Amino acid sequence: MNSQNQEKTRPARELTPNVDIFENDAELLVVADVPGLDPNDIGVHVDLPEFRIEAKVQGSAEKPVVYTRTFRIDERIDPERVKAEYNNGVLRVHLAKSAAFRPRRIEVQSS
Amino acid sequence: MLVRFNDRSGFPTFRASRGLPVSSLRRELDRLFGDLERGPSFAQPGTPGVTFADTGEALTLRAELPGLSEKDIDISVTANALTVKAERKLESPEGYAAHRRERQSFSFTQSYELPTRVDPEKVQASLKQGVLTLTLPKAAEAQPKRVTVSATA
Repeated sequence: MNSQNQEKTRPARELTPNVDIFENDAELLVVADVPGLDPNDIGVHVDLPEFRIEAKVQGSAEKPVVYTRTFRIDERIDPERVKAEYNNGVLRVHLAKSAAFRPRRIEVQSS
Repeated sequence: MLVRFNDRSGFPTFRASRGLPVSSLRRELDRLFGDLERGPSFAQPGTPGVTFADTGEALTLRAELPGLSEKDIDISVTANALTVKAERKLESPEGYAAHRRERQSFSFTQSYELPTRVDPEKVQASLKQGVLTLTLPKAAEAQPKRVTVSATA
């Protein structure tokens, strides 16, 4: 590689987004304030027991800025069934619980 | 070319209506954070971060208002003042227990005295993924004028 053309990369400045975390029987719901992003720049990674949100902020080529936050979640989450949506600058991540760990109602038969 | 408002450049300053001179806050914030492009808020923690710039032809304002749509924002402009109102009401999703609540509701009204006259008819506002951008073109007499240098023999 021609050393004169080497890209100078700088460590990105990290911003921590505010989040709300909710839970019900079916899923964990993580809601993060991350305004001004291109959805293609948002990464949601589940690598149990960690769950990470990482997003590159636009227009920051010279001074890179990323939103990043990592959470520890327990193994009841099914990594195959993570859904995320991004509207009005708010990211909502639905982490569905593995079926085996969802509370199931057991019917009591009378004999 | 974006120019930041600050005393050192000789630009007059925006003044928040609560009487906080923005110029001294800006110096303080510059000292603490070194870079106001990704503005920390001039207001209380938990309320929106707002940054200003002067492009030469227009004043611009950028505010981060995640979760808001157009109906939650009210903007009014005169030739020399700008008022922005924004409200966010957060609701708990039904049927969930909350483990953590960091995001805040807010009700935000800020009036700014503008450092140069603008043309209210030409103001543009856009909201994209929670970021409000206002462009306030300066009134004709306030626009920078191109000066032709003539050669003298």
